[in-house]
Amino acid sequence: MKTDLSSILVLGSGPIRIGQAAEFDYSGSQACRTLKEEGYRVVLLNSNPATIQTDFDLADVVYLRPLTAGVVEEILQEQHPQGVIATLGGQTALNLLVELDGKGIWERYGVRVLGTSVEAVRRSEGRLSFREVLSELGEPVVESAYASSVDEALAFASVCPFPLVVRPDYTLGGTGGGVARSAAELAIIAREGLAASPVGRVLVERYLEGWREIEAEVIRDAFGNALAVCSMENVDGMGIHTGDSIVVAPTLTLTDSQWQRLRSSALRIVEGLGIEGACNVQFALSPDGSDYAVIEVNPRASRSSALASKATGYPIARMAARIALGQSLAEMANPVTGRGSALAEPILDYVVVKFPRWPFDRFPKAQGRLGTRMKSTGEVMALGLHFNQALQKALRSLELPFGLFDSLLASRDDGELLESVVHPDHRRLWAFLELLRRGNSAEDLARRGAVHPFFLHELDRLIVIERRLAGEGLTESLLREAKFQGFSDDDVARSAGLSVEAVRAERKRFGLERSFREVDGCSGETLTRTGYYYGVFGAASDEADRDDRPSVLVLGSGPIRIGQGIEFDFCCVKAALALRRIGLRALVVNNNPETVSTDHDLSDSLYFEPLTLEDVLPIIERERPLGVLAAFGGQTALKLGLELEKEGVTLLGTPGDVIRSAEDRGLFSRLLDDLGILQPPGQAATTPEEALHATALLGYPLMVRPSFVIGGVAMRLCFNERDFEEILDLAFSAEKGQSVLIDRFLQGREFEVDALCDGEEVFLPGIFEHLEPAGVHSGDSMALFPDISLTASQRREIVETVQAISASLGVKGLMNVQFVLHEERLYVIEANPRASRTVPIAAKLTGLPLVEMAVRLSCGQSFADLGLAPGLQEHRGPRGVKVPVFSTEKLPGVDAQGGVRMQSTGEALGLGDCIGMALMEALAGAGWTIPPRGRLLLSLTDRVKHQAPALAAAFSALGWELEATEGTASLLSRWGLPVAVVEKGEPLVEAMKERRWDLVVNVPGEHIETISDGFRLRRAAVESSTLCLHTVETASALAVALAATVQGAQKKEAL
Amino acid sequence: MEALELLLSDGTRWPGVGRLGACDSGEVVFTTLAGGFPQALRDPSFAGQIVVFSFPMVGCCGVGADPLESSGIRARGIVAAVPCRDEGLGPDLFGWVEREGLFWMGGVDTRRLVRHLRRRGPLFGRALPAGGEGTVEVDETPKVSLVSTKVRRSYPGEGPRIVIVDYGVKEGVVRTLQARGCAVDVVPHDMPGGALLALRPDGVLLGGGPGDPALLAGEISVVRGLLGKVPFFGVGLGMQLLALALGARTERLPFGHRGGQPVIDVESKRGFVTSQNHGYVLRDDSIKGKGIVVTFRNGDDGTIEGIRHAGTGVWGVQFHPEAAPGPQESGRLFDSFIDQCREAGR
Repeated sequence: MKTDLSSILVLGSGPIRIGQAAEFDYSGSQACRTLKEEGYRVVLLNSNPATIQTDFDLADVVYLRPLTAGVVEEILQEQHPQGVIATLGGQTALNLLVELDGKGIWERYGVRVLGTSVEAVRRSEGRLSFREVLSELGEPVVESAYASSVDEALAFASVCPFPLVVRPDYTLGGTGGGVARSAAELAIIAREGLAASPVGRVLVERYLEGWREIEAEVIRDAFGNALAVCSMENVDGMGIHTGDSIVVAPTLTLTDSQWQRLRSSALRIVEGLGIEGACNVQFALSPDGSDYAVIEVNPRASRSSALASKATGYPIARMAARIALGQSLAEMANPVTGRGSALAEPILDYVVVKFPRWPFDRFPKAQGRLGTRMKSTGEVMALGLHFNQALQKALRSLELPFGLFDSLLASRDDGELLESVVHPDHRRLWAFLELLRRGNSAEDLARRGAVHPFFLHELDRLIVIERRLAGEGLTESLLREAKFQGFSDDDVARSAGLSVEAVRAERKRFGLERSFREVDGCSGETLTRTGYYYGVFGAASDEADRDDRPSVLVLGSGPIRIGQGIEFDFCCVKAALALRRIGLRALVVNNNPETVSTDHDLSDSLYFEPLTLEDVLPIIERERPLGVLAAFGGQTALKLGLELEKEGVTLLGTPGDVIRSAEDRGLFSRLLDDLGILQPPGQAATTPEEALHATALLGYPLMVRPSFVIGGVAMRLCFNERDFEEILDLAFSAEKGQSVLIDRFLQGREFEVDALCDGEEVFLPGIFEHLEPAGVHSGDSMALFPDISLTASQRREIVETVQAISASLGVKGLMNVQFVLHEERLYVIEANPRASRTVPIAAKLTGLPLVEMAVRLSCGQSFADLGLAPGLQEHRGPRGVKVPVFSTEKLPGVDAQGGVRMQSTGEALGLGDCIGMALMEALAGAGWTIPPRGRLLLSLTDRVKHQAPALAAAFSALGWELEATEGTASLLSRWGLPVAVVEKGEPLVEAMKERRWDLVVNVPGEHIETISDGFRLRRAAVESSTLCLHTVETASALAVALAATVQGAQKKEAL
Repeated sequence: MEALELLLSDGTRWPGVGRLGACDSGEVVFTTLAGGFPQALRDPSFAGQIVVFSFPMVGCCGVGADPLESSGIRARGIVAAVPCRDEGLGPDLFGWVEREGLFWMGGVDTRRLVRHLRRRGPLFGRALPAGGEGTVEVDETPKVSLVSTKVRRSYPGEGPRIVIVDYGVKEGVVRTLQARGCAVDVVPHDMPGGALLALRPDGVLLGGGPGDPALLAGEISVVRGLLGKVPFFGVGLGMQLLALALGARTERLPFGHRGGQPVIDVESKRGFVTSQNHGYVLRDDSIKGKGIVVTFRNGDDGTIEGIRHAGTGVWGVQFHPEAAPGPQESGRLFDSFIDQCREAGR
C-alpha cells in the first residue's frame, strides 16, 4: 500500500467525440468510486458536464475545466494532491500526463504518477520505441516506416508491396488514416494523414489483408501478477477499425493453442512494458492461424476494456485503480464473485456480441465505407447462449427500423451487394444476409469478405429458418428453433407472413419465453449473486432467491448516438441511485457496454437486454415492479415506456396520455391555444398533398419535422418552395404513419428550461439562453446559464407558461420547454415531458439533485416534501457556458455547419464569474486554443454581411489581423478597416491546411451546398483543426469574451 | 441424432439430443475450458468420466487443428449446450467422438447441470434414449491401469534422463521435456522401483492420471521406496502420490478443479493462472509433522496446489504446467526440475 498518499488527482477524458466516448465515463467513474471507497480524497479534472464522473457524489473536488497543462498546474497549486491517475481517462488524459511529465511538472510538485509509468506509456505509444520494445521481447510486428512527407511515404512503398495502411501519429480513433492500393491513393491518404497528425507524421505499414483481428484485455499489477480478462475476436478482419467491427467474446474460431499463443504474447508484452493497470493488446492472426503480429498496445483503459468488463462482469477500471494504489492481484478478492482470487480469469458460459452504432442515418452524404478510421459514435452489446442469439439481440438493440431484413438492400443487385462485402460499409452484415438469402454460398462470401467461414455459416442458419418460416408455417418446433436462433417476434412475423400479434399469441400458447441467467464470471462454478442478468432462449432461468422489496425499473437510453448521448445515461444512473436512496429496489435495463448505467453494482438488478417491448415485458413479468421510469433514457425510453403502458405496465411520473399529448403536435397545439400560449403557427400533415396545402397557408420560412424526433432527423428549415420539395419524400419516409409537422420558422433568440413539476406547481432551476439564433439545433448551440438577456417580466412569463402547461397536462417529474423570443414575444417551440440533454448541466451548475427530485416527484412526493419553493430559482453559483463538440473530422463528406439537425457528439462546460471567462474556458474545454490576438478570416453570406464591419472592428480593436473573402473584404475596406482579400477555392483551402488562421467566421447561405466553396472552406477548417464559427452571434460573443478576459488578465497583473 | 437423456445417480434426468456410444456410463464432471475441447477429451485424467462443457458453443474449430493429447479419447462421453457441426470448418468434433465410440449429447442446459453438479456432486450418470429406463453404475475402480502405457517408450535426448511414470500422463508433458532436450522414458504405472532405478534416471516425473490416488497402494509403495534416491517431480495425480508416500492423505473435492485456476506462490505471494484437471486434493490437516512444505495454493479456495518435501527435496504441483489446453505461464516449472536433475546428475 502506498500509505503516504491521501489526495489523488484523476484526469478525465473531456467531451465525447467519435473514438473517445462514454467508455471513459465508465472507467473514470469507477476509478473515482474506488479511490473514495479506499479512503482517498479525490480531485477530478474533466470538462465534460454530461458525465456521471463530474457529479458531486464521485469526487471530493470536481474541476469542470479544460484538460490543459496550465489548468492542471493551477490545480496542483490549489489542491496539493500527492498522486495522479491518468490511465482511466482515455488518450486525452494520457497525452496530458506525458506532456506534463515532459515539462517536469509532476516532479516539481512532488506528484507521483500512479499506475502505469510515464516511461511505459512512452514506450508503448511512440511507434518507434514500441517496435523496439517488441523486437526485444521477440514479438513480431508489421513492417512499417514513418513518413513526414508524401515523398517519404512513397519511398517506403518502393520497398514494401501494396496494399499499405497509413496511420497518422498521435491521434484518437485513427483519424485521417486509410488503406492505399496504389501510389496515387497513397499520395492522397498520406497528405490527409499528415494534416491530421498533431506532429505532422504518419506511419505507413504493410496492410495485412484477410488477417483476423484478435484482442486480449490484460491487467497486470506492480508485482508482476497478470491475467487475461477476456479474449475478443473481430468478425470484421484487419483493415476495419476495431471500434467499427462486430466483436465477439470469447474468441470462437481460434483453437486453444492459437489463443494461448496470443495470450502468452500479451502477458509477455505487459511484463516487458511494465504495465501497472489495464492494457489492451491487438493482434493480427494470419488466415490459417499459423502466424501473428502485434498491431497495437493501449497502455490504459480503453473502449475494449469497457466491453471486456461488461462482457465478463470483471470491473477492469476498478481493479486498475486499486493496482495504481499498489495493491496486488494475488491478494485481492475476486471482484465478480466476491470470494476467491482476483487472478481467476473470468469464465463465460455465454457468447457476447458487440455491434457498432454509426451516425450515417444522420449524415446521408457521409461516406458509409468502413476502414481504419473509426466512424461509429457508440455501440451495443448483447449476451446469448450462442452467437446467433447474441447477434440478433445486438441488432435489436441498435433501434434500427428493421431486424434481419433491410428492404433497401433487397432492391440492390448482387453486384452492388458484393461491393459492400468486399469493400465493407456499415450495411455489410445485412448485405451478407441478403446474398445468403439469394442462394450465395457461405464459403464464397466468407472468402470474398475475408470473414471467418464460421460466422457466415451461422448467418446461413438464420436464412434457413427464414425460408422454413415462409414455407412451413408456424409450427411449435419451428418457432422454438427460430426463437433459439434469436429471432424477434417481428422477424418471425415478417418471414412467416403473419402479424406480430399472431406470432406473439402462438408463442405464448406454446409457452416459449426467455429465461434469465446471471453473469457470474465463473460459469456457475462458484454460487454467487451479482444481480447482472441476460435473457436466453432454450435453457432454464437460474434459481434465484426472491427479493420481495418493492422495485422500480429504469429504462435506459441504448447506444450513444448523435442526439442521444451520455447525458441520458447520467440521468438513468442518478434515477437508479435515487430509487435506492428512497428504499426501493432499482432495476435497470440497458444495452450499452460503454456506460456507467450498465455497471451492475450501481443497481440492484441490471438486465443487459435490447430496449424493445418483446425483450422488456418478460423482465417486468418476472420482477413485477411498482412501475417503470421512462423519462430518463431519452426518446428511446419514452417510446418504449408508451408501448409498455399499452400492455398494462404502470408508468411512474408523467402518464402516457400526457406524453402523447405533448408529443402529438396537433393535441399540443390545441392545448397551447386553449391556454392562450403563443406558438409558431403550424399544421400537421399526414400526406405530401396536405403538406403542400399547409405551406401555402403558412408562408415561408418553415420548419418541417416528423413527430417523435430524435436530434432532428429528417428535420429541415425551408426558406422557399424549392427547399421544401427537396425534402418532402424524406420527411414522409422517416416514420410510417406518423404526421409531419410544418411550422412557421420564427427568427429570434432561443431559451430553454428544465422544470421540475409535481402535477400542479413547477420549479425552474434556471433558464438556458442559446447564443446561436433560432434555426440551430439546441444540442448544437452554445448556451449560457443562467440567461442574460431576458427581462424580469419575460422570466415571469416563462415560469407562468411552464406552470400552465405542466398543470394542465399533469406532468410529474421533469419537463423541458423551449422558447423563441421573436419580435419581443415569447413563443413555445417544444415541450418534452422527460429529462433533457441539459439536465446534467443545470444540476451541476445549481448543485441541485434534479434527477433525484424528479424521481421523488414521480413517486408521488410534493415540492413541500422536497423542501423546494416553486418558481424560478435565483442563481447563486458561477455562470456556465456550454460549447458543443463535433466529430466531423472523422466523417469525410459531412458539411460542418450548424443547422436544425443535430450534429455534435459532445459538449464542454466552462464556468466563470463572468460569461467571458466561462466562454473562454468552455472553448478551451472543447479543445480550442484562441490566442489573445491572431489572424481572423471572415466570409459572410449576403444576408448577414451588413454585420461584418462591427464584428471585424471588434476583433481589430483587440489587435487581430483581418482577412476576408472578396465580398466581405470589399465591405470592410469601404468602412476603412484594414483587410487582406483571400481568394476563394483552392488558395483558401491550401492556406487553411497550413493553419493560416486562428479563427474563421463563415456564415453560410441558406441553401445546402455540398461541393460549393463554402463546403470546402468548412471541411478544410475541420481537417486542419481550425475553429470555425457559423453565426455572427457566436463570433461577437467570442470578441466580447476576448476583450473581457484580456482586460481581466491585465487587471490581475496590475494587482 | 436421437432424443436422449442423461440420467444421474441422484435420479435427475437431463434431456438433450445426440448419439449413444459403446459405453454410456461414468462419473459426470464439468470443465470450464472455453476451447481446446479435442485435447481435453484425450486427457487420460478424464478416463471413465462423462465431461460436461460449461462453455455452450462446442466444436466451432472442429478437431485436429491442434496437436492432440495422448492417443485416443479417454472420456466416456460429452455433454454440450450448442454443438457446432458446420461442414467446411475442419473435421467435425462430434463425428470424431462418434467414431471413437463415445456418446455425445447436445441441447443440454449445461449451466443448470453445472450448478447441479457443484451442489450435489460427485455424481455418476448414464446416457439413455429419452424416457428410457436403466440404472446408473457407480464405478470407482482405478482407471490408471487402463490408460497407462503397457511397455516402456523411450525418446532420445542430449539432456538429463527423465523417467516419466505413466499413470495417464498427457503427451504434452513428454513433448515439453523433449523440447527442453531431455532423454525421456515413459514407463508403465506398475514398474517396480528396482527396474525404474535400473534405467539410471537423473530424475523421475510422476505424471498425472485419473481417479482416487488413495486406492493406488502399489504405486504409492514404489514411490515411497525411491524417496531420497532420485529427484522427484509430481504433476497432478503424481503430486498426490508423492504426498501419500510421505504420509499425507487426500480427499475428494466436491466438484473438482477443471479448467483455468488461479494459483498463488506461497513464498513470493505472486500468482498466475494454471491449467487444471483434478477431483482429489491433499488434506491440509494431514501434512503436519511430515516435513511437507506447501509451495502453492489455489487462489480461489485455498487448497494445496504444490508441495516440497524438506528432507528429500521431492516436489510437485497439482496443476498442469504443460498446459495444452490452457494457460502456459507455469511451463518454467519444468526448467526448475530439469536444473535439479542436472545438479543431481553431477
